[in-house]
Amino acid sequence: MKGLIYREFYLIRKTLILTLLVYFVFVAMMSLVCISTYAGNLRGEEGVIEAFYPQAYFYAACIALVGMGYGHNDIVQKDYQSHWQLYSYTLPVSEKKIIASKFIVRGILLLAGLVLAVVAELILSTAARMPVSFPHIKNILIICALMTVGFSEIPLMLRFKNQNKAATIILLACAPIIAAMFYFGWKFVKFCMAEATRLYGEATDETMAKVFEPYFDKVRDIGFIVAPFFAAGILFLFFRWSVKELKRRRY
Amino acid sequence: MNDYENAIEIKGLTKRYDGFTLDNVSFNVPKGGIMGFIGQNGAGKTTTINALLNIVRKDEGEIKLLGLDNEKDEYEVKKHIAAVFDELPFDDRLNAVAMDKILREIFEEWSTDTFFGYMDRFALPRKKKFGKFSKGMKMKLQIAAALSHNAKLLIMDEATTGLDPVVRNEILDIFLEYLQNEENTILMSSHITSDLDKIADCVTFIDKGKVLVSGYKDDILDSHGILKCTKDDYKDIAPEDIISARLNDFGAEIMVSDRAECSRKYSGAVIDPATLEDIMIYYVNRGKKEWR
Repeated sequence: MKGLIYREFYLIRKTLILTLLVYFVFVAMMSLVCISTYAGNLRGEEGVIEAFYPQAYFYAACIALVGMGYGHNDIVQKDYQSHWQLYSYTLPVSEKKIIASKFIVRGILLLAGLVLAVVAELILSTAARMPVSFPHIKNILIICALMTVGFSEIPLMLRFKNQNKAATIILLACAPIIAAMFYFGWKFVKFCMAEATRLYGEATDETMAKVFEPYFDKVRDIGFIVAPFFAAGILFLFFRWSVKELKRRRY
Repeated sequence: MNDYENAIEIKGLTKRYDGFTLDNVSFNVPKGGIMGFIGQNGAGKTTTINALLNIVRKDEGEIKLLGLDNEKDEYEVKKHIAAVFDELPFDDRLNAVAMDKILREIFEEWSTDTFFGYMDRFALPRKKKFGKFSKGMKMKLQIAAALSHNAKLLIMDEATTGLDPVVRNEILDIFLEYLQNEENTILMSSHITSDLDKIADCVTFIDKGKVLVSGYKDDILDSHGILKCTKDDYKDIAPEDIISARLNDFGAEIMVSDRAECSRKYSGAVIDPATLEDIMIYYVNRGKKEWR
């Protein structure tokens, strides 16, 4: 299995390097913006760092978590194109090991993304002269758990052989979920506006945030507890599905 | 490994697809020999090979490789076999150094020295990406990889197709060298019968999913012949002696499967030896009996 893992890392090494480059440039630029709020041209402008820092860590986390797995997305398609998929059946390796190697690589990339996201939070908080935010780290961990959904690419690509087809299927499957999210999001905003007007007389950004934050914290706390179970369940299901798909390919 | 007489034993292999059936295929490949597996495109060669490698699930039949069941003992068997396909199954972005690192972790008996020995012998660059290799280089690379884990059985599917005669010859020499070890066996599917004329010990002809002839090449070549006669004489040939007949304006060329018997029966008739290509062509046309 070591050989299979090595192969996957070898094939994605260029995308990995590019992702790391983008990540470091982004974090460096964001850090400079943070620093400029007290030692540069943004000094003296109120509320900049409070608005900027929570966004900067989030985007850095997204770059790290999404970017690290990005290069691995099309590996199954490339395996089909290069006939490796066929050749792998001639190797003394079981389907479970072949799939495990892909999941291990993907898992390592996700963990590396998690580490980079946390490192970005540490760097940005230092640059912003703010304490490290544990809610931010909680958010990163929840995003990381949600990213396990990306493992679905492995069985989907095994089934459809092609990234475009797999992406279409994912979008089709996710369309009702996204529509529902938008619908409830809109309903929730309306609720927050009504609550803000009722409690504080008017619905401004500040009053809305006051209404919104307790709910957000609650959801985050629940998410933090649920996340590991969600990730484990998703990984188990996708692993089983991938092995089944690889066996089915022995037509 | 256990003791075995035949490196490959196939009994009653059947695989049904919509529009094609591999029908009750049976043949053996003796240990230490090279079996040519011949048939036209779509005859069932690749399906048979895929069934051997358990890439295709068979519907019926029994397959033993190196004395072991190809399904029950799949991973044990696969440690000792190597497959070579007509297309390089390695990603274009890899190079030989990376491939060595990958395969040495997969095959217990992988030998880096042997692999790079073949690479050097074939004058293949170690750090050049496979995407920049020519077709001949890719095939040599695949063979180098196949011969580097001490495989006892080499299964090749159209491996020499599309290669120029110089490269083909070079590769055939390597196969003969590989067979110097009496433990090693080759099954080679091809429709380039001249390659098999040169190196095969045994031959199996397959057509439309059925095995037509299987046995030692010399026996097959000795027994078959092309009887040449006039159109009038052709009428006197017993139908059971005719596999198929190629008719032309001057007479007929008839493939017979018992040359010695036919020589006695039709004294005076000229019976030329047949090549593997002749046998393949006449057998493929056996349904028509007469063809031009």
